[in-house]
Amino acid sequence: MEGANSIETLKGHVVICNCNEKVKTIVEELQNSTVQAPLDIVLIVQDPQLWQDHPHWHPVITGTARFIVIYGRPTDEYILQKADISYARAAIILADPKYGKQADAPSSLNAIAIERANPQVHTVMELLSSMNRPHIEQSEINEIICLGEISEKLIASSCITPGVTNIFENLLTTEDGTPQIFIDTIPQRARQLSFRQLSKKFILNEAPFLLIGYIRHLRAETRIVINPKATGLLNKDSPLSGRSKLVTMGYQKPDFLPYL
Amino acid sequence: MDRVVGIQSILHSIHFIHQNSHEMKQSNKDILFELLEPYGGRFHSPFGSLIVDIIIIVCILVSCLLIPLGYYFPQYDPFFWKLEIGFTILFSIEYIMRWIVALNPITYPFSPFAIIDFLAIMPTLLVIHADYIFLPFFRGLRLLRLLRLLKFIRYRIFFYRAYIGLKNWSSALTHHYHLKQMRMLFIITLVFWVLGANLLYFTETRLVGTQGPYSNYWQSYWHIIIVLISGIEDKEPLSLLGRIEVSFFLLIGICFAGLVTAELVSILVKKMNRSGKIQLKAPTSRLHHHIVIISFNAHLFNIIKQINAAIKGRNHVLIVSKRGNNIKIANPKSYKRVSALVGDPLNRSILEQAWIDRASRIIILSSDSDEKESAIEKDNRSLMKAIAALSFSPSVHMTVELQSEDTQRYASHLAGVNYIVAREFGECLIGQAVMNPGVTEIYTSLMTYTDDSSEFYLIPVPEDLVGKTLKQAQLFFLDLDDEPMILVGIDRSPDPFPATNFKLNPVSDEDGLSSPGVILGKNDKLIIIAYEFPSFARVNKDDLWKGRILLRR
Repeated sequence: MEGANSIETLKGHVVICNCNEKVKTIVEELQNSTVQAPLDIVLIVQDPQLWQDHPHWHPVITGTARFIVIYGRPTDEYILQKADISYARAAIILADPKYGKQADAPSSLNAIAIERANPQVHTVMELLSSMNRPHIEQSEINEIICLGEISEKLIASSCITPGVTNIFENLLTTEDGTPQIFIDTIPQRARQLSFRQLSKKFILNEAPFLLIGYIRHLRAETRIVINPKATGLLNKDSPLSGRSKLVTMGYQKPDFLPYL
Repeated sequence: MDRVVGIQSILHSIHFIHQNSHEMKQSNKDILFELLEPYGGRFHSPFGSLIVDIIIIVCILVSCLLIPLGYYFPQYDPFFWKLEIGFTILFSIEYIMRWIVALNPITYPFSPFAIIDFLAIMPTLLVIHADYIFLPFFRGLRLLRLLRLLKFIRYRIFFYRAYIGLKNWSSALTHHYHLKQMRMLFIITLVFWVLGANLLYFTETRLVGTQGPYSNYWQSYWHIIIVLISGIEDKEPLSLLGRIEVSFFLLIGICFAGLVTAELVSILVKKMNRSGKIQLKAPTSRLHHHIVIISFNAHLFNIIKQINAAIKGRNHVLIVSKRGNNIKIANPKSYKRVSALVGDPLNRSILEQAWIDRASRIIILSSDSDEKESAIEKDNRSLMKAIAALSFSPSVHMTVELQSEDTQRYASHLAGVNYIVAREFGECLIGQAVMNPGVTEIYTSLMTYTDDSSEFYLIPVPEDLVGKTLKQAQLFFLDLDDEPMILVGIDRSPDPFPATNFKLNPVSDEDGLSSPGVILGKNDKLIIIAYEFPSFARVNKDDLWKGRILLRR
């Protein structure tokens, strides 16, 4: 176990487990975001040789945010403590290349170890085989991202509506001048208003964001409603409760209050 | 003062929205118009339109059939005449309805189709009054009813589709069951049958007169067919030459029986071998407005599932691959409109067989046949396939799956091709998932085609919204309850390259797409989030005809 950088007490940082070719982009994306403050990142590398043999995976650190590399097993409790997992806001579990196509199992175990160490942390796991998704969804992992699935969906979308990939690309990049999708809790003043009423207020008051949907907790279930219909249980005229979240598209994290 | 003007403009916007939302709703006249329009298959035509078409075509055929029937069965003439009156009333109603729903009722009677429709009812109307005016031409007038055959011109697309469908079905049947050999056997049997029956008849009548079983011309056909099919002698000829000839046909018959049995067994074995595998495209079957998928990898099945969910199987999907013969499918029902063409996609004759120049879309998947190949090598192979396909169809919408971002950089010289590097999207999505927890589900929902999820669509600005501001358009769409949709941006890209110059949620003055004051032009496109391609969207007929637009309904 060896630390590339000295580790101090971290808070609100992101822990990345395992290294592969995606590390560089992810770190640079998180540290150079125009939407929010740069984030400190801790990378846990299991195989030091693999990391050192691939210098093109190493991110270019330009800002004030820290990038710390810890060598060790991401399932090891001591290593997770060293990465200050208890204070981390999110953990990304990447597929370890040394396991090839079978990396989903060790990744899941990493995620479970992290969830045990800090149940509040937001875990994002890279999945290789979409066939494994239903099994992993049963665990506590918050978000599962499968590149194969993205590829399939984007190819089909691009086939039906040519050019749509450019729209997704525009939404997904965090470059300056590109919009993103945000999810935020509904403000106190907007409670009991419907999607239609809120949308109308935002449009008429020329808000710099667009309301595209909402998330509502219905009994034990969380329902995402994008482009609500006029009819149905969760429609565009249903009053939004205090626990609801608003889904918006904008250039900055939305501030709802001035436009209500 | 400014405040008053502001309120006035808002009130004006709301008034405009209410006014237009009523206009946008489909009226009964529109529904009737769509029903009477010839059914376009994958276009916006309702299924009822197909039923109306079939009813009218059957009525035309039956009413024309009444003319020869009247000559052959004069005793039923009064009944036929009543039927004719019925058909004339039906065609008259159709004529009046078409007139009512016509875009311009003043000029409609002078349009070519209206004249044809009028010619279809005119002869009977004249015959009704023939006693008074046209008695000398009565029979001639009845024959003029055949003019209603001209009505078929309106249904030419229907007949063309039926012809292509039948041709494809028969060639697929011939290819799958190796009916070519069976057809050959059938023709040879037919030749031997006619030859044998005539030979035996002439031999027997010439040598033994009229006593023998082969002395009756038609009877000899019966005897020879028994000999040929069963390989058993039916009736013995009386002459020696006749017996020699029958012996020869007996041998031929035994061979035929053996060959037919072998062919049937071969068909059954082939059918068993192909069970659980994708159907193969017959080399001669024609395709148009189809989706071609070149090469295959593990993503293929989910892509087909997504495409089928999006377009409800309206367009045929053809997979072109060297390994096309071995594509296994789990659920044959969902692959009814999917077939494979076995061959190298770089071979021009294979691309010709795939009717690639008639395809609506082309997808090139990154082949996983050689695992040792590097990402760059795989990408270069995919790019070569893209170049080959573009040489046939330069304006087709093409999506190419790439492995490396480096390749994408130099591949961008191929204009109009959409490249997808999943890794690039995945990295961004992981980053966003950290910053906006839960956002992946939103993206997944926007990328997935189901009846209950919304996706991005690009539509031309509806005529009523041309000249309005983006804000007015957004309010208009918010109150459009029949087809829920959200306007999220404007696209000002040239037609062949959609979404290359667009702005989502325009808030700044960049690119001249400032919100909310941006004025929507006739050539602009709107980027919307909707459950389906909106029914009111102006669609270029030429684009539809050439299959450039794939619609979900």
